[in-house]
Amino acid sequence: MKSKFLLSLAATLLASTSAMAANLVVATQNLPAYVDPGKDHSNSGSQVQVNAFDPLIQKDYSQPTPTFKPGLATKWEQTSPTEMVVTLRDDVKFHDGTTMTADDVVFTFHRIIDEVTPEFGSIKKQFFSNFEKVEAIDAKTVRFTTFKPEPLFETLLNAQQGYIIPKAYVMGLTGDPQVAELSDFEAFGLKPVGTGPYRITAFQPGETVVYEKFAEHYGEAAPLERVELRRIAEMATRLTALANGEVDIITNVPPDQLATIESNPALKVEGNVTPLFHLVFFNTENPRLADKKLRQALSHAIDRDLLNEALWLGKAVVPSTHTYPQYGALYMPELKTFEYDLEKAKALIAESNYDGKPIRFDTDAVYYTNGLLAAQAIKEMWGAIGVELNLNVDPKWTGNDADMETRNWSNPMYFADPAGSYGTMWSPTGARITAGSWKPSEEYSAMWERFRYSTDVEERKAAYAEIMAYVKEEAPFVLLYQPYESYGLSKNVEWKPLPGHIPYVLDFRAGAITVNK
Amino acid sequence: MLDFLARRIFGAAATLLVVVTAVFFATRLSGNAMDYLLPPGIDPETQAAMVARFGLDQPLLVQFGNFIAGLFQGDMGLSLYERRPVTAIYAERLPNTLELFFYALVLSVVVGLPLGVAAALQRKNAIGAAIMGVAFLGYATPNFVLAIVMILVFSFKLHWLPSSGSATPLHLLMPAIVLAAPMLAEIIRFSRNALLDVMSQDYLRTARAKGLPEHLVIGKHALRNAAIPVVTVIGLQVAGMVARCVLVEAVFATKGIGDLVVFAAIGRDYPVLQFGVILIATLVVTVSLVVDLLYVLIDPRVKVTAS
Repeated sequence: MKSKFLLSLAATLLASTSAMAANLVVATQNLPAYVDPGKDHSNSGSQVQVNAFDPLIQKDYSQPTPTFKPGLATKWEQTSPTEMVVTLRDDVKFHDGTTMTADDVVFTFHRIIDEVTPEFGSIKKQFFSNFEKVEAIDAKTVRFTTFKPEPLFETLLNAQQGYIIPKAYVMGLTGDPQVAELSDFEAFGLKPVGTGPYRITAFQPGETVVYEKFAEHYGEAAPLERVELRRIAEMATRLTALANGEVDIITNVPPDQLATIESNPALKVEGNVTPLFHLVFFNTENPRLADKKLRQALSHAIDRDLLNEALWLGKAVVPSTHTYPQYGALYMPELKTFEYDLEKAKALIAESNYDGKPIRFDTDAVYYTNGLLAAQAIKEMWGAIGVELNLNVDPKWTGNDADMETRNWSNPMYFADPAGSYGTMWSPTGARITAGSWKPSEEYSAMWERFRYSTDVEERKAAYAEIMAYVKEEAPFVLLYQPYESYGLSKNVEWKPLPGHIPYVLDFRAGAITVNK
Repeated sequence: MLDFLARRIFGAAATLLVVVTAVFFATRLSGNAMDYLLPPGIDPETQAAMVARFGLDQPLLVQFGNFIAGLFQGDMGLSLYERRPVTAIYAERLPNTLELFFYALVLSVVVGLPLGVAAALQRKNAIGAAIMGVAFLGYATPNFVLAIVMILVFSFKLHWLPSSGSATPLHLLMPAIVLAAPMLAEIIRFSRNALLDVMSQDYLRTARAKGLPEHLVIGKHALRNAAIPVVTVIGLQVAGMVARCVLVEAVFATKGIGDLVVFAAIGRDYPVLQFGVILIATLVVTVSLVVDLLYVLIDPRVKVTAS
């Protein structure tokens, strides 16, 4: 016992003074319950997948605007508006030692297209609803076929949800190795295998992910030998672990803690404005909020710049419309969809049928950074136009309830196109409309069709402008800001979130990190 | 004796059944798990499909029947969050908590008993007062305050101890001390009072009168008779430790069952929560059974009667 104690004392001191070079420990606020890129689009899952998996088409993540480059595919060609033919590398090894072939690509996409479990169905709806089939032409050539013309082939084949997984490995996990059973997919989520520069050598759901360098990776080698992600849910404990040298990076640092980190000479802060909006939405089908003048008034009454100054130290971005620089040609900051105008809000509320009774606003206490504080501030702002906000703090997701009135939410960018952020939430097949809290007109659906499936960029831009004008008039929601996401780091770690990624990605691949220990 | 054991085990099983039933219905009163477990903004069809997949759309009594049937077959169900058997999850977590309990128990007994005896023997001077002062302080300080202060001092300022995790026994030192603090204080208090009670008894005067040295008077005659209230306190404190470990594990990010149960309660992971409560109830019931048996060993006058 005594020797074990001394041994561990020595080990701990060693580890905390100067950890072995090329070994990194990251403390995160949350970690996913499973690691399967095909059935996850959660903020916690997005963090971990990038290091262990690869998409067919890669992207330069150091820039916000997309520049695609070969990934598992060496080349790709859109042979018709509804067909894409992809040629695969022939030297790609999975972490289990097998070689990737076209069969794996077909298997990867068809588990989603065929909706093997409800989670795959959800991903299909948000990403691949236009995909009809994926076929192997030969061992290194794959043909993707869509129902309608697909302008987003490259964007979608770059998404995390299209990361390639090994067919034979998955089928062999449980039961008959020749059949993909439901239990195989559950087992894969706990023992994930990909093609990335790191393989996952240990995974405890919601607790730890351990990556180790994968020597047979086809591309640039991993810069670190070992990376451990460790969930430390308590902010104060995370911060202490960083200050104590137990971990090298911590995530989800709220703005009011930045000064604490910066005042420590051994530590520093990195951060970025994430491609994600915090927003407030209205249940337009609830009779109490059916009058669009009332919704417009509530939208115009929110002083978003003030929220940014007070809650985010001015580091967040207050958007004029639903757009991100990551969209490239479709980035349209010139549109003016949301604005603060107190006088106009007062005039609108006078014209509206507002019944004078309190309006319920639902929020979780902790899920969104500053979410509750923003709600409390909005209560004051709506009070200024004579609307009483009744704050309902509850972790329950009320967005699908008919009696929901207003609540906060976030719109992350799942892939770099308006269809991958605005669309997943507000398109005719998006979450809000299927939940029945917004019922836009027939013309809206026509605008969406033009926007989503047109292969002409100018036509898509024109259609998106029309959609935003419609949103301005109907006011189903108001965007608050793009939050500034902060990380605390040890000074000997060179790392920052890359602007080309979707939110929360912890990229430790070549070029993304240097550790000087 | 066997009869006594059988009755106690039957009683324990009945207690567990009541606990399990209460937990099953109480968790379900708190809302639908899938309102909490799925990411915000999930579309209603996927949500409905997930509810159906885990049988959460069935009538409550059917769900309860399935749960009880599973219980008797040793099938505790799948975690709604991790999608793997809850028994596998607890198998990973339980050793950390038991290790923590063991250190806390050893710490409070090994340190607490001598201090209690010292406080009794030195009751009229500053040493006794100082020991009792520290004991009351330990008893009165809320464990979350003690935990944060210890982290601040020993991790943040001095860098002597790791602040979180359970990788090595060293990681468990601070949580064990925090967990032990109230128990330590109770043991000091009770062993002192029990010893003082015993020391005024006639048979100690007799022992001294027949010329026994003082250490044998205390060690052989007094302590043994003072042991019963102390053992009772230890039994009660182990139950209290279960409650405290929930908070202590959260603060120190110890991957034990306390942390797991909190996470399951927030996320409405019913199967994990249910099994956690069964496990904790079993632990408490077992400890009280062991305490009862210890009475028999310590005090020959306590007889097990078969009535």
